[in-house]
Amino acid sequence: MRTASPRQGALKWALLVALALGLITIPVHAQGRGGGGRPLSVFGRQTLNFGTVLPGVPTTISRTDALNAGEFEVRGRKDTQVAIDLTLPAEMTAGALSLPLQFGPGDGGYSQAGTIAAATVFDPRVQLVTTLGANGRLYVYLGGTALPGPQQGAGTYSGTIVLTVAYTGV
Amino acid sequence: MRGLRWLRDVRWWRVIAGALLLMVAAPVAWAILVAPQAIFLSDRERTGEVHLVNTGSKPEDVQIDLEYGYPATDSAGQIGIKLIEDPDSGAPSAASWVRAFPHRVVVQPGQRQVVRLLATPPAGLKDGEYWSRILVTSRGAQVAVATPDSNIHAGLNLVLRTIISLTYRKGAVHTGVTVDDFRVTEEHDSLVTWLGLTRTGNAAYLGNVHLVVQDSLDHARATWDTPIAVYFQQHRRLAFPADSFPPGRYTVHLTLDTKRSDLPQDDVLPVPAIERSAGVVLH
Repeated sequence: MRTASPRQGALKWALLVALALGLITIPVHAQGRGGGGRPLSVFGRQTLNFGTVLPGVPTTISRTDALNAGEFEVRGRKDTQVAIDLTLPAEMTAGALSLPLQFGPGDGGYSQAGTIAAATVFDPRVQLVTTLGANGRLYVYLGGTALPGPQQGAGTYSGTIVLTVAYTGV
Repeated sequence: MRGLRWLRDVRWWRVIAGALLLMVAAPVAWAILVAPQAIFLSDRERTGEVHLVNTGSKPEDVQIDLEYGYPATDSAGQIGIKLIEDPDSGAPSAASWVRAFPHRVVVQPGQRQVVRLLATPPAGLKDGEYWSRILVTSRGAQVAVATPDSNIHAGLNLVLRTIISLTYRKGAVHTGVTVDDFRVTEEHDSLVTWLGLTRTGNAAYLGNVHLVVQDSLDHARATWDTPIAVYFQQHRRLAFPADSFPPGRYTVHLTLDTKRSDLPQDDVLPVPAIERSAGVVLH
């Protein structure tokens, strides 16, 4: 079995950090032709987390809750328009049990600067079309409400959010 | 107070421990980088590559799918990517005959993965462009699993999907665009441009919209640029902040050209620039 040396490991992490910071571009010269421009990348910084909820007590996570709101980052070409779709589940499940979820028109936020408290409000149930910032970044925040019933069974409930991103100009 | 009895019954140390566990176990970041933003294949170059890089800190389970689609506007003039799972037989779709290898792969943190594309078009394909979208779906984030107890834990997993375009060109291809509508209106503190475009030829129009706002003294007050792709027709609404403009008459100059700095010029079908102007009075 091959194991990476400490030097290889350090190089790997240096590459990872450089890629994450956008310091390295990916050269793409294939048999076919690839469009240039800065590639699109999506980062999930934090999932929307309701933590421990209590039976019969709705739990709302605000889009400005830095610890529990969903936080995503899109990186691409500066000042370029992107379309962002959030597919939101109506419920979370734990085996056969379900726990309803609710998303409202004020549960989404976006910011070019990455300031969660000052993010512009949007309705996460409809497509967001906006422009990446001068640094090629856009931050998206998501809140929501979990609605456990009075007899809600114990368990670890989970659901799935799908975040879809595309440039609108190609 | 009887209704609140359950509050006393809750074992709070478990609630707190569970919440801490979920917070601590949450991944810091997961991410996938997809390059390039557009793939161009042809009857001379039937293969291509998409590069995936996991820039996150967790392994990413990545799936690559192809689906017919293109940018389109809705009735409000909003642009989006329209995906059509089962296109008509006459639609210029390449989704059914371009395949990705591998179709699914786990990409480790820091690792780069090449996905090869192979086009096997049907015999007798007419000259023109055929389109698909490449959907790169990564499932890296799983909600932290709490230890079994009598509490209710709730969290959401995240699936990230990046969509890029794929174009297959067969034989002679040409494109163009006609401006069917160009109007400028004032809406609250915004300047709204309505742009009706119809593509001509047998290939998508890939260009730029360049707008310049001039005041009554012909001084440029603002400029905006945005890449545009017209596959069929678009009736697009472009809104820009105008709250800093003093009241008065303005002229908006439109230029449509195909000088795309984000795409290799060899892949952009050249079309002579189109210019239009429209006036608006801001109150």
